[in-house]
Amino acid sequence: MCDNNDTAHNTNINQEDSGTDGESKTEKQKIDILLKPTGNAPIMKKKKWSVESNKPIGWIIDFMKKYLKLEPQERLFLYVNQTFAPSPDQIVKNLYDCYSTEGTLVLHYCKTQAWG
Amino acid sequence: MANDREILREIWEGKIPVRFTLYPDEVYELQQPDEFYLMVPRLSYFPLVIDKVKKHFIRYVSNDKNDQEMWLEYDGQPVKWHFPIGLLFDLLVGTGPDLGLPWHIVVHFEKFPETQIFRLNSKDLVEAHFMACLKEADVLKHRGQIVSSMQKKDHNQLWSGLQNDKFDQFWAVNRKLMEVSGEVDHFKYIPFRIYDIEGFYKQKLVKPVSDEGQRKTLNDLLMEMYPKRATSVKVLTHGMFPPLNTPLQWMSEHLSYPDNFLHLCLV
Amino acid sequence: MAKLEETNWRKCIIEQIQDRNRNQTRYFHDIITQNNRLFENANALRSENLQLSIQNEKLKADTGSQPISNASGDSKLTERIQFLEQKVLVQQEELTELHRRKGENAQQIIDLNVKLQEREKVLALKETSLEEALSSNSVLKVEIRMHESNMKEMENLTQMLRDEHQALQLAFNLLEDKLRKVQVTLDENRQLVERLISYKAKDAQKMNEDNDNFLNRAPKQHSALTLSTFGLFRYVS
Repeated sequence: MCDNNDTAHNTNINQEDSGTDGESKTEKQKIDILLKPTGNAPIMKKKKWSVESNKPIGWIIDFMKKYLKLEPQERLFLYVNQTFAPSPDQIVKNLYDCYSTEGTLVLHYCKTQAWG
Repeated sequence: MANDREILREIWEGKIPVRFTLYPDEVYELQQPDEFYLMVPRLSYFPLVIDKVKKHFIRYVSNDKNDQEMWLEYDGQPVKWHFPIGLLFDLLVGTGPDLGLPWHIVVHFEKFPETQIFRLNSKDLVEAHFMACLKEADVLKHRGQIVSSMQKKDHNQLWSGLQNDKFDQFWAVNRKLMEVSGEVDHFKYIPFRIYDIEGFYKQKLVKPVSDEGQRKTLNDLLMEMYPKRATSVKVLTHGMFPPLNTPLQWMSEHLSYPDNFLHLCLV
Repeated sequence: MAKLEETNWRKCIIEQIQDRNRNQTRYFHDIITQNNRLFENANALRSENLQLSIQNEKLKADTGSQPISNASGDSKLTERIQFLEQKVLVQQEELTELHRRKGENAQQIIDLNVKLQEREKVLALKETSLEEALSSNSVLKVEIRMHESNMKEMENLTQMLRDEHQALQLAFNLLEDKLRKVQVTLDENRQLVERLISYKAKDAQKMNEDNDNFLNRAPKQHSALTLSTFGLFRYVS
């Protein structure tokens, strides 16, 4: 089981569509996420991603920073329901179970604090 | 409505005695530093209460490392200080006849473990984290309507009440977040996190009433989260085991931490 | 039953929390605060000590470079040392005094808390008895109003009866008078009838006597026919 606070820099994110066969263990389950830019955030070419359910938000932020080629000192904020920023150690599965709509977890991203 | 003031007060008053020692390898002075004792509030966060600890130990470490960041370690592991102190104690020490109090925490100034804990070296960062939890809890309870209708000064009052250990100041605002609105007498969903023995946590949508309108209890929540669990599993929070027939709505109103979440440890 | 269950889980929770606060918080709180205060004082004293020894060194260095004024320098030094020693002593005394006072204050706080709780209990009792008095007051007021209305009704009834009685009394009086008058009239009537009868009787007697006298004077001359012709009959009264 991965360390919940792992913010490793070199894991490639899977670009396959979610293959939720039921027989796979919960850790290997994939979650569909949709990333939406807000404010003056750069637009990502690929918006839909499939992420392992136990990945923490901090890992997603690090991945996106690399993907968007941001400087290390620049910050990236992720928001759920356009209301709150989840803790970087929160895992995608928990957010999906609570805040997904129609099978997808929608996350808004921004380079500055949008909703506090 | 969180109106059982006696419970709220007793929960708020919880403090844990901590014995801080400096990591021996970092001691630069000839003289060994004294241990530093402090009563820390269960409902607060470590970065808010350790200013005196830093002041006490910083003169014993090498001078050029003065701008290194302080971090805490227990039992060989970095302390996840974005968790409330009471939750950390329940998770790391647990419960039992001998808790080994005071709680021994080791202070470090070198080699900040940035992959394992967050840099909460400024109080603003802790406040941002706290407010984010609060907003999330309100999204679950009231679709976020109450927290978004509050003014900045209400948010500030909550934070300052927590920081300065002012029960009345904090609850003057927090009671609004514990209100049930309109025709229903319960929250939409209960904000909670259940932690396993390693510190990983689960969070799901759980309603405080069943489809037939009956009030649900802690037992119902555990059945929903772990349908195959053994019946002997218990839940620890605030250093005590709430009975399984405690109503969920009451628990959320009275046993939530200041971030409005219930933090429950599986035992 | 629901109430009992509720108090059971709540009781269980509050007891655990109070135990926790007693074992984890209260037992350690005073000692740790005391400890930290002593720490602060020790730090303050230590830094003062440091300053004093620095000054000491300076003075020693000064006196070292000026051997001529040794004597006065020495006495000044010892004077200074004595002065500082006294200062330290005073500080130590102050410290112990403050500790003692702190203990007293803590005790006072405990006592005042106890007193406050007792007062609050008495107040609660007084409030409940006040509530009871107020409620019985309102009940009695309602009863009084009821009785008053009853009384009014009774008075009206009485008055009505009195008026009727008076009217009946008057009617009765009138009738009594009428009766009396009637009786008087009857009496008079009777008397008149008696007089009439007696007059009639006298008349009848006189007639009879006249008849007898007539018959006696000329008994043979008169036949029955004559008698009957003359229509003389015996008047019987």
